[in-house]
Amino acid sequence: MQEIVQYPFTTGINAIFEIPTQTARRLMPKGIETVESNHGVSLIGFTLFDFSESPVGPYQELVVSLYAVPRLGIMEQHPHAAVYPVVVASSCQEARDHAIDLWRLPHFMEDITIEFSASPDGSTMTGTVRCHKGEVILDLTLSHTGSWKPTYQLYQSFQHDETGTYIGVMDMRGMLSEHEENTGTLRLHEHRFFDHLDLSGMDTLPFREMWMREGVESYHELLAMEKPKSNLQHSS
Amino acid sequence: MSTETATNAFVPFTKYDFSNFYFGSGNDVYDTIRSYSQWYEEAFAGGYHIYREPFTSAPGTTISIHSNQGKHLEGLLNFSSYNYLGMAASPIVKEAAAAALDKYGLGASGGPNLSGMFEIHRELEAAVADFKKKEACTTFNSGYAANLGIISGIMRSGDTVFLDQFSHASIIDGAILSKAQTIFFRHNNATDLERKLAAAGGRKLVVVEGVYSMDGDYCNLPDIVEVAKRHGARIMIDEAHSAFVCGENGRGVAEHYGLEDSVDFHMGTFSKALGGIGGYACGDRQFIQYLEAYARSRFFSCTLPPCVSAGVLAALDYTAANPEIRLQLWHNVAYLQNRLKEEGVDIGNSVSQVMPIMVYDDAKVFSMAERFREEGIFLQPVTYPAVSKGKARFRLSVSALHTIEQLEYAAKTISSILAEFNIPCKK
Repeated sequence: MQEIVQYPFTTGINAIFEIPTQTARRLMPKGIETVESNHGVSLIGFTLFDFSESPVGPYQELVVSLYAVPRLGIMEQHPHAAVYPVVVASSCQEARDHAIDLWRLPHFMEDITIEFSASPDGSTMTGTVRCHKGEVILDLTLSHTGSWKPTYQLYQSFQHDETGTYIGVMDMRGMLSEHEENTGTLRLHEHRFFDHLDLSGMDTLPFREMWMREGVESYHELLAMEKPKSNLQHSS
Repeated sequence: MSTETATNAFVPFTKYDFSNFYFGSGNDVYDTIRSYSQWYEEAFAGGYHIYREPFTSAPGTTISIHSNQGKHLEGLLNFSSYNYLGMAASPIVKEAAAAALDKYGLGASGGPNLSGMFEIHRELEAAVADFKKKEACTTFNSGYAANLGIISGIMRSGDTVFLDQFSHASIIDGAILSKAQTIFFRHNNATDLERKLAAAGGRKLVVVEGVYSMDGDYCNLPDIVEVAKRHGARIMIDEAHSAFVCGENGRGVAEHYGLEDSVDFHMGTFSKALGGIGGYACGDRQFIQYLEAYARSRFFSCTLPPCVSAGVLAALDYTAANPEIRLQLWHNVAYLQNRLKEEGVDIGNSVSQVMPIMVYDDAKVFSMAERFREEGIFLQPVTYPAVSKGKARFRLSVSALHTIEQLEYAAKTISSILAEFNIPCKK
């Protein structure tokens, strides 16, 4: 088993959006299934992190991930959820290399910056993601409920590259506020970041908003996933 | 995985909920079943034991139950049953059911097309059609079977079904079974519906509910009808919680809005206001004829028990002839809503006999449910994923049979227990 690698962060905001399952399936490799919030409706998350520490120092990260069906029978504890990161963008080359080497995460290969700005009353947070040339990629705004609860959630993260498919085991801890009030906003700007990211039919009003403060993301291990024995066929 | 380790993994049980055990891949189906079972053991002990407790009395305004913890609880004030008009144990209904039981026996012993259709079924269908001012009616074994049969009976692959995001599971399952494309619009939001209707071609069906069962709010029918008509979509309304209750003559929310003829397909149940079991579809004769041939949940099921049909028919006849029962229900609804609002209790957007008592905290509702029982009130909590994350609540149902004293006691007790658990009020 690998050593647990920890990534403490000051702010992590995550909004989950509904996306047609047929669109989601086009973004996923065979053998991984989407989780549906409702018939024909899958879920895609946009997460912005401000990491204060990591093996490569502080950095910022945007993760676009689909929610996936967890694989059971391989971990001692039951996972709370599973994700398939479709694309990750980082604020520096070191962070990118680290995540690709260690966790095989697919990356947008340019540096980005994330400007986190809270509203004057602190009730909302906006994350503006820009590429290194200053062009805005997206703006994500969400809110908290006023109730912050200590939270621990165990995730699986499916990774797929030319060497195979892997399951990363990770957890998130921190003070969490979450709700489904449909109050947040996501603006996707015209940018090459989306050139290979078909989000057809995605709703830009969040299904769920999650805001975590003073959190830690911990990667436990990366397991090679056996080839699926099922006859799963995606309708792409 | 050892049992001991697995069991400990689910302590505290509140780290997980039903949503965590629906999906799971792997090489053994039992990976999901076993995990759920281990979690449920903890969840049951932690609070879920308050679900599925058997009643030992009729579902009246006071009930007796055998608790899952081995206690026998007598005389609880019941605010959880659907017995809106008090028909479930009405002497008139019981007498009619008993007479039919004596005449026909227990079951129909056949499906409706071959040997399961009895004269009492035809009488019930005619009575419902007459009450609803529609040409024809057909019945199903449950409301669930009705929605399943209607939607999958008339929609096909290549069609599109538009559903409110808060739709009942039976509506969603009907759409899934139809193989039509299913598109959800935001709750009661005609603007969102219009955007989605505009993007779809082919045959379209919009399905709404008269009263939404977790929130007690009415469907925004005027705007939805207008938008649906403009985009050539047919409209179906599920009046499970509103038929025989809402509208000037009790014909439902479509009557309330004066839009009965603008809705193409009407559905309802016999298990709420009429206190029995079963569902119905009504509309024009062509629609009903088609359903009788293509609604598989009806065609391939044994017909409703004749004694139930007779009881339901008696309940319908009685409530139709005595509208003061419905008026009494609305009097009770107004009284309790006013008192709860005076106490600062958050009842969401309810305008009906279904009232959410908003708690917003999944972790507290089970202890609160226990406290309600200690104070003599049977009130059941609803948590995620049955409602949105962070929208835990008690789902309260008012009956025409509740007395003002019972309603007053409920208002005071609810307010007091919410305060005890530091649930913010609206005062």
